[in-house]
Amino acid sequence: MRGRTLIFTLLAALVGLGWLFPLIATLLGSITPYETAVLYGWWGLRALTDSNYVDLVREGIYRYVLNSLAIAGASTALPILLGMALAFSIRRRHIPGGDIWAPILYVLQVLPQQSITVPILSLYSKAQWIMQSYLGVVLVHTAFALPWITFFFYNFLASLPRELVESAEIDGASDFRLFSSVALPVMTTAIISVAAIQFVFVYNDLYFGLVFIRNRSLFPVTVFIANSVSAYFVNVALMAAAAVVAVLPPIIIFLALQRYYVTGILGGFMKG
Amino acid sequence: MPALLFIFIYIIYPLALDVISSFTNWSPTSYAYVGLQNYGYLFTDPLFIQSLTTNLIWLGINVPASMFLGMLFALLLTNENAKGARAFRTMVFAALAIPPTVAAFMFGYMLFAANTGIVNALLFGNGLNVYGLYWPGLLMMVLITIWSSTPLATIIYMAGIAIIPRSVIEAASIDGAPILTRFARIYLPLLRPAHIVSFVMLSILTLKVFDVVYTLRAPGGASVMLYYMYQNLSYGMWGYANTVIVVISAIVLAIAIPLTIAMFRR
Repeated sequence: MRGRTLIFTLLAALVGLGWLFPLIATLLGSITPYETAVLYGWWGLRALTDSNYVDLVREGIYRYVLNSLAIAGASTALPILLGMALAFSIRRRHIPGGDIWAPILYVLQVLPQQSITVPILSLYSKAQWIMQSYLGVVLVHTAFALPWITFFFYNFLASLPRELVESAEIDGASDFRLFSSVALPVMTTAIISVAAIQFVFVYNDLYFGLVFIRNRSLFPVTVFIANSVSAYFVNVALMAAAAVVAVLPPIIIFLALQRYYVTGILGGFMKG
Repeated sequence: MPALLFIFIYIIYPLALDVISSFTNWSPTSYAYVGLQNYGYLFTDPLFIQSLTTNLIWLGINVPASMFLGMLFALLLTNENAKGARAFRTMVFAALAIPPTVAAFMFGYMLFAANTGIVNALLFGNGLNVYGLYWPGLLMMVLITIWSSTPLATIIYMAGIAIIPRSVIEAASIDGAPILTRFARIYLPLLRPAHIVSFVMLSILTLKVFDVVYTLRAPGGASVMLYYMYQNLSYGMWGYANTVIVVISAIVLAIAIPLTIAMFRR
């Protein structure tokens, strides 16, 4: 049986390292000078240097990462608060329709981001300042996330034990108390899962930043990278360093919250 | 309810306006009803037909490839014979956290570009023209999405494997059935729910690719519908861009709605 263990372990290692390879390549590319990378390839591992990272700081590229973090932070907190309230209201029948909402929310979440662009762009064009700030893009992200986040919390609330809710009702608890002392304490896992996924989604998003921000200095890092990569001349070494810095926040969040992230993915797409 | 107001202003109203304005020549300076003219133009524009075809080829390769790899990885990475599977699992899943824009750069420049890409240098002697020819450009982009969507399929299949009763698997291994037979007779049929969910999810994801195409500027002219829509949007052809959106949304909904109905009926 030892032979079988060896084969399976080697195969698993091959798959894991193989999948990580593009990241490793970029890491090595980021410590190779541009001229060396073009002449000998980054895999030559010659003249390794930190100059790309120095250039990165000098050109102030970290600013775009900060923009992304700010946009992603706000676009995570806002829809979680609104989505929780909405899911609770639907459950408590404060909003008519009841269970009809779940499939509607579910279907809305599959539509492409592009489907809400033009009407909102025309609204925003009457108040240009909104695209000169983070606000415009944060509101779009918040709205676009509400269907799936509400669906997620709605599903989660359904899994609460009925006795718990009933006994609180008999005690005469108000809706607010029912929410804050019965539902909220058991929702921690659900909230962390949603937060991890939404944060990484917004941070990684290109499209909304591309369309709804008209101020270059406020661009998220994905827009900066996409625009630099599609230019005529691409400094591969500098961009590799930028790529490494850009993936750090989502990778760190993913590594720290992997378990929540995975349950979140499953919970967002499947029912109960 | 502020949340409902939000959904109304930012989702319901735009979706309704999308459909209505797809019959107009809406632009920043005009708005007039033109009937079916946009749709007529759309389906005779060779650029759109080519984008639609590219989308379908992409779908035809990415979905089966990612499902197959995802199932394989899920079986391998949950196998008790594989030591340290947890760590290798994390390495595969990490692809989920990387922005598609960055993934496009990684594959496009560190792996496939002539001179700076290791794959191009070692396998093709820097002779592969990924930015000038349709098929190399498209296949490179398909590879990027296989890389990023396989982990998703793996997660779905792992959840599928977890709900197969242990007794079924143990009974088969006591029988001493060979691995391939066990795979074909037990895993393949019992993973049916996972097949359906990953098929639907990956199809929708593949139809919505945009970031990779934008970042690599449709290499070799391999454009997709959403990139075509974005180009028309930037020319200010709002009504026409919405015509494209209506077509894409119809395709996506045609895939998603049957699953939704099946899921909510039980």
